[in-house]
Amino acid sequence: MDRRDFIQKTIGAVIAIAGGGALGSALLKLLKEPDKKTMSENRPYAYYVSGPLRPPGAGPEELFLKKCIQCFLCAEVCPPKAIRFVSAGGGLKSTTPYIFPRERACILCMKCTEICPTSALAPLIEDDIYKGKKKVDMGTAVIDKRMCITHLGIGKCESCYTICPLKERAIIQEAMLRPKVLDDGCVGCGLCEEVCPVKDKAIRVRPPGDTLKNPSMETQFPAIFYPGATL
Amino acid sequence: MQFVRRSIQALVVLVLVAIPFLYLYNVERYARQNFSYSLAGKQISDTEWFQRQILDYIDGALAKTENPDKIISAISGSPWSINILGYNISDPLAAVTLTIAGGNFYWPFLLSILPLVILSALLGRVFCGWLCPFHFLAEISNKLRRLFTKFGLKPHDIHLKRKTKFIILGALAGFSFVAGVSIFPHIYPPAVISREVFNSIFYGTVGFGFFFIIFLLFTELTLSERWWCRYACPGGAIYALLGSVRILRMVRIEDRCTLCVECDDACPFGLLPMSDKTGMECDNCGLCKKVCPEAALEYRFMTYRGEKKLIAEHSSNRKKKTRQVRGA
Repeated sequence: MDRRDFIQKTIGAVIAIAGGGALGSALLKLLKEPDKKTMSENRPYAYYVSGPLRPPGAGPEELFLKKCIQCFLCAEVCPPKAIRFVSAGGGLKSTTPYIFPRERACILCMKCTEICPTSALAPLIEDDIYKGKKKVDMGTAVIDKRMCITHLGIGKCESCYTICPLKERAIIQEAMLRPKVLDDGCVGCGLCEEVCPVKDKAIRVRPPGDTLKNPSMETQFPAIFYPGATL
Repeated sequence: MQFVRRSIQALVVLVLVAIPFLYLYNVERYARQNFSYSLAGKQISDTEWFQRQILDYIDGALAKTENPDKIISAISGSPWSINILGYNISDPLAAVTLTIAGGNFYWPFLLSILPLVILSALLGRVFCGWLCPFHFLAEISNKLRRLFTKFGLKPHDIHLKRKTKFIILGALAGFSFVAGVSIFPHIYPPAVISREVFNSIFYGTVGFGFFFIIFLLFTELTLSERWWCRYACPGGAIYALLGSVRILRMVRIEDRCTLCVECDDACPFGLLPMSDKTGMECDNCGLCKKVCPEAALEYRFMTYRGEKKLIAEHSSNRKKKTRQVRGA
């Protein structure tokens, strides 16, 4: 082996090792569990303690992840374009669908559950949502009384009550028109969160497994590959 | 033949691009109808100029029809899982990942893979050569590669073992089972490409998969021709397994063959039709048939056993010939 050949091979090996290392570290970064302590408001990647808010008809988080084949049929047929996908920063949860009601809420049209080929999204109970039983369980809305205009007594807003498709079952008005969410009736579509005029949203939807009732404890995944993605 | 194949590939890509636009129009339709009801109304002002043109065109075309909703909902999805008139057709790999990662047999979905399973059991890896959008892009990349060679640049030509893809299929299936998450949609090119096309048209962003596809096409150009399809693709592994029992086979007619090796050079999968070594990988693309100067390659309906018999006949004939030559 002459010197030129040796130098060429060495450079090739160095490039190969560096490239492999870079690729490997990138992959590890993707697979790593994201840092849950970082907190930022009003970003589309806001996650909750128990995971993202899934589209209607999704069961428990683990079961949903097992069933979802990431075919994006649900997002395609969604008329308000409410369903979006977890970015690559979500690790193994990336490219699974979720809803960020602050930007665009679910309208409970149930087209995603009709089209889902693997029953990852399937209505829980075969019954009309407007008559009685719970068909969907995306989450529950929680009112932050420290921010709500009506609760504070600044004014009379009624936005959440007006837009709610399940009036008197999911949300009622107490004395002085103060809204109150009934946990048994609320399906978590998030229309109330979308229309709430308060900047940081006085009413927020939390996924079913989310035991934490303090709305300020929302966590967030870093947005690596979908920077600044808005609808 | 090649014209038909190219047309089908182009049609698949066209449908892949058209469906997101159709549903983008669906979103706008909803926004128009419910402008006061939902904040989705702001969608209308969110589109780019060229999107505006296409959406206006769709609007004009659908305005004449009676029931636009029916037309819009007629087709949706991608090669990974497509829904035509309410019937779902999915990739066999999707069923594998659902069954293994999900650990449940969901019969309606397992039935939806039947069309592709039957197709590849009859015709071999036809999904790869005729329908896969990545194969289409790779063929363009391949043209560039041949151009490079013409100008004296010699790209690498790395060969691995063909069974590597079965190992990858098994390993990733095991990983999905342990993790409880489908891992194939992240790396299976048809699924990744269709998702990225959808992302870029519907949301205006691209994800990690975009860089993955660029990486694959670049290595396709520099390292090895169709290396992903030959040695790594888990979907290709399933299609190859199904293709081993195929009925339509490319058969060499020995009398006409002059052993010029044109067909071996032309095969994108690196198979050797001249030595009768097509095995289970052949996707019946017909490129070897096209380049053969003597028309010695033909499609024949033949079972696995029939082909084996024919190959044995060929080799015995060759031995006879060599004996005759030596004798003379």
